[in-house]
Amino acid sequence: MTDKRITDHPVLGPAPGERLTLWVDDQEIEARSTDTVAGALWANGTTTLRRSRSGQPRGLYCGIGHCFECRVTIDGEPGKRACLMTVRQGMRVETGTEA
Amino acid sequence: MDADVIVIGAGPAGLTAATTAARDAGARVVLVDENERIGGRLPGQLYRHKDTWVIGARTAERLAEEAAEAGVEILSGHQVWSCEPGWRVRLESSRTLTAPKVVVATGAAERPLPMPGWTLPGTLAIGAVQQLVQVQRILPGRRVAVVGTDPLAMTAAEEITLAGGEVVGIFMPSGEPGQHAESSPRKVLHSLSGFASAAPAAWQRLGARMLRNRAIAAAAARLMPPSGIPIGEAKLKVRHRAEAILGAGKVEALRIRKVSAQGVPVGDSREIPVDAVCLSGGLYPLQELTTGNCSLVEVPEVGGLVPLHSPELRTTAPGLYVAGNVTGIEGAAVAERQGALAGTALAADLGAYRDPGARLREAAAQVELARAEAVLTFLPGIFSGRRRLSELWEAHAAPGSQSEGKASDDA
Repeated sequence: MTDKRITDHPVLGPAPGERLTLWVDDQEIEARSTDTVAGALWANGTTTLRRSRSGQPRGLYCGIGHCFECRVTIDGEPGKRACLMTVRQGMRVETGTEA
Repeated sequence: MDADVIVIGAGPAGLTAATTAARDAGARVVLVDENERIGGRLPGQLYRHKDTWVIGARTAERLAEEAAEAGVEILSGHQVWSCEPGWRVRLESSRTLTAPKVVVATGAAERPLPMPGWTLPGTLAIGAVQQLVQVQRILPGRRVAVVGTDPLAMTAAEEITLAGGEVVGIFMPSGEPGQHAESSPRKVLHSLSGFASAAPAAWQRLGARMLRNRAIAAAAARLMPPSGIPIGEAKLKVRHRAEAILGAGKVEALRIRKVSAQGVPVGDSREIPVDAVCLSGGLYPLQELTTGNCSLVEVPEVGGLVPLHSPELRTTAPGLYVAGNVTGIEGAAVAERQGALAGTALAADLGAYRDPGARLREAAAQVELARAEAVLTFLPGIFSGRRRLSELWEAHAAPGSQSEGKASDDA
């Protein structure tokens, strides 16, 4: 796991969830079952989730499903909001594919 | 009909409205939310109140258990696309739910705080920070700058440092067009008074109360040390504004500049290396599902455009109720009591009570109590805003009123 993970929170205690793996652009990454897709990618250092029409990088912004900046393709389905989708073992995520 | 009641939004207001209607009236209630996780914004909330921590996730668990016990059917992970009189609630899956009554408890969203470089990955709104840190236990960055001056900016800074991240400072917005947030140190100090009860140290509470006085706030802004006011481990830099977010492909630095007490830039700018910037522009009520269905009124003191509603949270549309931040920006405890009130009004309209008046008065008193005891006051004018809303409803409901019985288009 990476240095962005909070393993033991002073008020909330140890991080919940089980470890699992998913595929991001054909690379296997580790995540926790409590992660959203956006969170798992964030913790693994992937900040760019898609590109704007003019090619500018875009990533997680509002985190509550409102801004639609974090759209990725999940298990072949495009336009899914990475901040709302919880990770599942073996899930396949593609970034940067949508304008 | 698929149900007696459809509740849209599974935050504190929606959960409590659903539970109350199901329990008190034996109503068949379906609760819909686009998130897979129940609780709305509650699971992301964590703040200090006196000597204890208020943990939103625990409240969410309790409310979800109560809803399950009351027999509420919960459809999580289902986005609502539209809500039409009748009531027909269309879901993303093309499925349509129908019920004679609907409660809209869609809450609020953050106002954007646009500034140069804000689309760079690594720029996050406060909601994203709360979800990352408290729910998923992931830091937004190792070195983080917070930009914004509302209570949410302060709590986010505390949450990050508590979890082990470094907050290099809480900075003023630059005050450019499109930003709703205050950028003058004088005004910011005045608005900070809403943060008084959550301020960690006694002297800060005292200080914050004094700042409600505009003259004292103005004097304090002149005396304020450029190093900033301590907010937990972080410093509120009322004399520095954020001018631009910089980086190649992702956030790498924040450019700041010193300002006078009136917010006028003085001196050169400098760049602070950071790997994330959190922007806090404040909240506004979400009206996507009420627009076109009932009368809306603009009341800036409660956060903007809200449904015209009775003290019992009925709207101008028959069978349409509202609860929580969709009626104005307040904390989760108020939203929870509003949910109970809307659920009680609903149950009363379904004939559940022998003495509905007494039940409604009791539920309304609980809302007022939660409002008076609120730890965080998001908007300094909330009480006068609520009074204004009551007056608008009375004018609407008065015999002989022009708008009686029909939805006007105040919006």
